[in-house]
Amino acid sequence: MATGRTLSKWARIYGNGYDLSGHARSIGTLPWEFESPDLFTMTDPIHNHLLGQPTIGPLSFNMILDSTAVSGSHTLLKANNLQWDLMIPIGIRAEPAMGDPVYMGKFPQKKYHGEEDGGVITASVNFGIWDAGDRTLYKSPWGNLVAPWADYSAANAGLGYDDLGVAGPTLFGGYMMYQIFAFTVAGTVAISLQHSTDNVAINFTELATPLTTGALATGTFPTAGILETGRTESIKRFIRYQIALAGGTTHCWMALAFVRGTAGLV
Amino acid sequence: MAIALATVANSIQSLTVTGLTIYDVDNIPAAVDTREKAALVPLPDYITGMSVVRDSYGAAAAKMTITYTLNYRLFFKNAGAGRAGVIEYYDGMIDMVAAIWDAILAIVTFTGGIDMMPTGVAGIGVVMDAANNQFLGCDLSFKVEEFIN
Repeated sequence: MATGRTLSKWARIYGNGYDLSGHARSIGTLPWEFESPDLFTMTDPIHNHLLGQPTIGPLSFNMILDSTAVSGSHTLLKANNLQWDLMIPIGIRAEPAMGDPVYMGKFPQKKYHGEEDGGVITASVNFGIWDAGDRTLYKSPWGNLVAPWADYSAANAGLGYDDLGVAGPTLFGGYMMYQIFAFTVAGTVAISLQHSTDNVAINFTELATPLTTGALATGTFPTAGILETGRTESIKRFIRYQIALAGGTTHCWMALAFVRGTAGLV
Repeated sequence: MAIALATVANSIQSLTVTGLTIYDVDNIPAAVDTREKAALVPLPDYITGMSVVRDSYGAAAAKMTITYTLNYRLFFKNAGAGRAGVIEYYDGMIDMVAAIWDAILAIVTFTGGIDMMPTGVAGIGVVMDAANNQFLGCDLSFKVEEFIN
């Protein structure tokens, strides 16, 4: 994990277990906003924001229209009007790595416009805001990448990353998003979040109330999802992923990200 | 802050292209020898199109993005090599140009800069080295982007 600034070529777009990065030309803005309602009178001294009621999204992607079976942008997005678990990791001058920033959430697809752009046939895709009915307990779309897109074939005995920067723990829970892209040999895969106070491999444990996908049958892949802890769950300073392959499965291509809850409104 | 031009040149030298020796600015050959391998050598006007954009407030500590083009000459075969003159090696040279571009396009990260793209091929035909020897070759250019601070 590097720090500092970066270029757009290091951003990635994962959605519902598909890597859309190779089809994306731009991802636009990644909104997170506390709006000020137009309900104030002229004599109110301050027009305040709706703290605690953020707007996350909408998003607007410009894609290359690609009809490749299964994974092409046209194949995946032409249905429109579907819910997408979108994860946008932002690599810092390199491929997204553990600890890099991630914007994520569940967004309804609102638009799919094929269009011509300077000789190239593109697709303009809009997603609406993260609907309140699907929202987690947490109000931030910004977290960190726990497991970068990769082929995972064994339990994690490695180190994690510093998700907090101070001693911790925090007592405000959080949520994770998993994107599972592919597998070899049918079976099951379970992905969970582990934490530690000191980033010593043997000291990582599951959360007190484990945050885990449970055993997911490979027949449902590609897939993605959001899982959240209770609002007061204790989360230690260092975070890492854990994976359990069973039932014959030997490889799983996946990515995992986590948003830590905070003391305030988010 | 420091422009890492020499480091970028070194990164280009360390690219692997089968059948090609890539030279750095500090080891330009006085006379090119292509008997065993083709050669990619920095041109005298090595750096062109340099521009700096200030990305943030500040003076020397401001974040800046610098872009420039690095120019190389490909020496593929001595003019006159082979029985049919330069034509005999023409397709091999075109393949070499494609292989060099492939190597540049395949770069994920490299030391010194943050992005590099091939930007041009010019003067395909007979080219001269510093000793005025003639070769079948061409000029290649790569656009480089660096973050300063």
